[in-house]
Amino acid sequence: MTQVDPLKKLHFEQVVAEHRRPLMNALSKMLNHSEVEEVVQEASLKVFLHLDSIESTTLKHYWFRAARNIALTRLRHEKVVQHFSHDLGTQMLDQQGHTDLTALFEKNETREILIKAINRLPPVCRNVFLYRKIDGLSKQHIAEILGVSVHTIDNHLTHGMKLCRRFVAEMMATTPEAEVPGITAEIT
Amino acid sequence: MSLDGWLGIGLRSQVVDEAIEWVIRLDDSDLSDHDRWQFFIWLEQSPEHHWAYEEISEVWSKLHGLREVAHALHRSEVIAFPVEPSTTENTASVSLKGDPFSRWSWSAILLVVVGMVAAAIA
Repeated sequence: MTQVDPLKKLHFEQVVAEHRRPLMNALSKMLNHSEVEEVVQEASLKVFLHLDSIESTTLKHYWFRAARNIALTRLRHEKVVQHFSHDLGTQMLDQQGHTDLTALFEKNETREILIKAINRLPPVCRNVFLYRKIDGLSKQHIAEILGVSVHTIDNHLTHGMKLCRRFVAEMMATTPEAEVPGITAEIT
Repeated sequence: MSLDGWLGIGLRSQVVDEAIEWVIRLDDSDLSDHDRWQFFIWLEQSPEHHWAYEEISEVWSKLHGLREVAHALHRSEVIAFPVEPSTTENTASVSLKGDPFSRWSWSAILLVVVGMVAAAIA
């Protein structure tokens, strides 16, 4: 085992001492108390094992990210177990083929949902969104085309992102085929 | 491209909305020092802010991937707010091309001047 830089170790201990409580508070919105403790321990160990390859300035960020990823993995695992527990063992699928197909479906479904979300944005907001993200125009250029300020362009983009996010969240909460009249009515 | 980043799983909606505002402000912009400080103060308030900012900025960046399906995105015909034309351009277009009365006026003035010069010579 390689020798850990004592200064870096000290720095990480300081980061943990200072940010452990805020990290646990943030995680407690996702997991129960005992799981929060486990996730923080697991994330700390992960960072400690990779201490040599992590820059001191990014230690905190790396630690937060590790904790978030572990928490999300747990949440996904719980969801998958709930979803498939009733028919586990009844199907034997070719694992590789299944994974490829799943990835393909996910990619297409993701695009479908995002296209629907963007197409439901108010007209000017949608155009600003497309100018920036599809055409790659600068915000200044878009402002000149539309004869408005860059601040207004920022407002359109912010509004567009918030509406798209709400649409995605509602689509994910319903069946893939379901329409979302509430959002449609609000956006148009 | 996964949709997870859009959802901000386990994060408060208000925090995700604030992250969206910062991602858009920081995109293609020169922020003042004051605004940059405000951003870092917000970022350091909670690990939630770190997560939300990171995930929304990734989502924002990956939206470029929709260029492949640009044909499926509806563009609306937006009429730009009319900009007042410049004075010189306005004058030139009216006097030289637009109003026939103006052309006749200039011709009349020219004829008068020519007539006066001819009278003076005679």
